[in-house]
Amino acid sequence: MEILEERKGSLVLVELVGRLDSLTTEDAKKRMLVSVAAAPHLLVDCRQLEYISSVGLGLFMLLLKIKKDAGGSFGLFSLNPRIREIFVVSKLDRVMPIFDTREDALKTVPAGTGDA
Amino acid sequence: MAQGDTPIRVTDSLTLALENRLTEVAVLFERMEAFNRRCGLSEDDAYVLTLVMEEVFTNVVRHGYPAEGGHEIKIRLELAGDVITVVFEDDARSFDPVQAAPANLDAPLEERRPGGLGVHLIKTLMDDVRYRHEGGRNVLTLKKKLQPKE
Repeated sequence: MEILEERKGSLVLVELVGRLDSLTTEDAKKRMLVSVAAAPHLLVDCRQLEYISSVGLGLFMLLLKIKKDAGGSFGLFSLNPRIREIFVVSKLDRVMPIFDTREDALKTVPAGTGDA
Repeated sequence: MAQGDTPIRVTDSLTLALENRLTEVAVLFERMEAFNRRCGLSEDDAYVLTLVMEEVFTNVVRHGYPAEGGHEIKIRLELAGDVITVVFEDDARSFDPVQAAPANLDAPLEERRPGGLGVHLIKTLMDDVRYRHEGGRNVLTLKKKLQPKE
């Protein structure tokens, strides 16, 4: 799993490349917990996320809870249709902000932080 | 044989014996990828099948034994026509996912736990899930009808 991070003021943009499964999620979690603490807002680019299982969903739930508790924000964007379906089946699309595009996601971050 | 009964033609199968270790998921993925490709599964079907296999296997390893190692989890996949049948057999602590309390997916985020998600995905994504405890062993049979080939 490759994790690319970009910082823009109060926003951290993280791009996930690869899989969030039982073999990779623990390592991704350690690195994402650093990203989540770096700025109030966190957006995750899932364009190159190929696979997610329940452990990966658990990681996103954890990150969302951390951000909610801290008064920041968390969102995902550009999920492939198969992965989006897993969110729908798990009813996580009801609690987690999921955006179609990077532009849509950036609009939700308070002014002055995005590059949209 | 009664009229209308046609023998089920097994078009492909895969048998795996994995140790109860999470790292064995790597072997599971590798063998599943080859099986999915060989059987010409659609990307959607291949994803769902691999996901369900990961969820069942990791549940058995995480919750079925006091520690990792020393036990064998047998998995058999059979493709007959357009139906995939998966059978998991192990000597883990008995656990019936069919009867397990459903995960509360309607709870607010604060009360939601990732714990029940795996079993929920297994039951939702497969068409048929049956469990039996037989001679001290768990036997879990899962079936899924595949999408028509494009």
